[in-house]
Amino acid sequence: MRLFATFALLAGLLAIAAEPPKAADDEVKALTDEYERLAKPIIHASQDAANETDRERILEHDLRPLIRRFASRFIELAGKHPGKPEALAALTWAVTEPEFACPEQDRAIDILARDFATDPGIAGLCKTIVYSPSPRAGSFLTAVWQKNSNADVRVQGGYFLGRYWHEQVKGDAAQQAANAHFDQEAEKLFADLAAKHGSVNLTALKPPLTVAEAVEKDLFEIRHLALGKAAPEITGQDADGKAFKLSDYRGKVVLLDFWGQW
Amino acid sequence: MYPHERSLVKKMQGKPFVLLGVNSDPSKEFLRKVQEREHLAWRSWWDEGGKRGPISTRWNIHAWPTIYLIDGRGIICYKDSQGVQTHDLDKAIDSLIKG
Repeated sequence: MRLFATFALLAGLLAIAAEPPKAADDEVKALTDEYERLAKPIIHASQDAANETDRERILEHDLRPLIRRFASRFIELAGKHPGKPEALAALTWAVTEPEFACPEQDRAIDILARDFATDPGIAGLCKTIVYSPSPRAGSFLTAVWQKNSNADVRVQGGYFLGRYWHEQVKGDAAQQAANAHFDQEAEKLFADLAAKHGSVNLTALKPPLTVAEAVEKDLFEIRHLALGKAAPEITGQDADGKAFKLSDYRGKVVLLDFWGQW
Repeated sequence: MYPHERSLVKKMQGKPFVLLGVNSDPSKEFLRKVQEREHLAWRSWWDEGGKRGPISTRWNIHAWPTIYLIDGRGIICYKDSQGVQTHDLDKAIDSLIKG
């Protein structure tokens, strides 16, 4: 029995020695797969929940702790390959997977700001981080805007910083009033970007727009789609091809939902 | 969003409230199928098949879902996007209906 165990151990060691060194991006993939295996039944349970309260409870008590645990492990993995593409992939997971604020996400963003603000491939992540619930998101975008050595990527960092600021102005009148200064900052930055870098392509947008094109729409939004402004008319057709317009519903409170199933 | 929207529409029956969608799915047929399968009993404009449709472009939509609340006079009263806070939204709707 002991002999067999020794033999098995030796065989195992030989097998490890014979394998090429485990590629670091395999580690990211393995961790991602492990997470998905554990998350799947929880997500299914939440989809099958009888009502919204049950669904929220499942997400709160089961999914979020799992995401936080894995975010920690991804950060740990990133720490083994500082500044390398594997670290970027691992940190990206820890930043984008939690759709809620948590210290792990904040930590991952701080490391990204420290190690990847100068990375020429960071524009896509800048776009994603605009919608991050982390209070650290703005400092990451500021770092890219100030430090990236590629002029076009730097401008994209600046553009998405403006969008991030504008994104903070939402909710009801009181919430928006408290954050109104963000829109003032965004307006200034957008105007500056359009004046100095209007022809730069925002490659992170799909399909890409130039800074001038995007900023024109953003300034329209800040100035005309703001609280207290008249909603622009909407005309078009429903799924059956019947025409209708927003002003048909004057006199009613309208909840307008931009959505898609894809 | 769907479960919250379904219960919201049910709760607001008979009140001066309407939920309207702007949908960016690829075709009207696709939209109709989703509406049937998910029991979405409210109207949506079909935004000509993409995230850059004319309505979404005019409203400068970058994230889905984005919601706007508009009062009876057509004035924008509330906005939220990505991770919509449904409790805050319900509060805002209630205050508009009562006000």
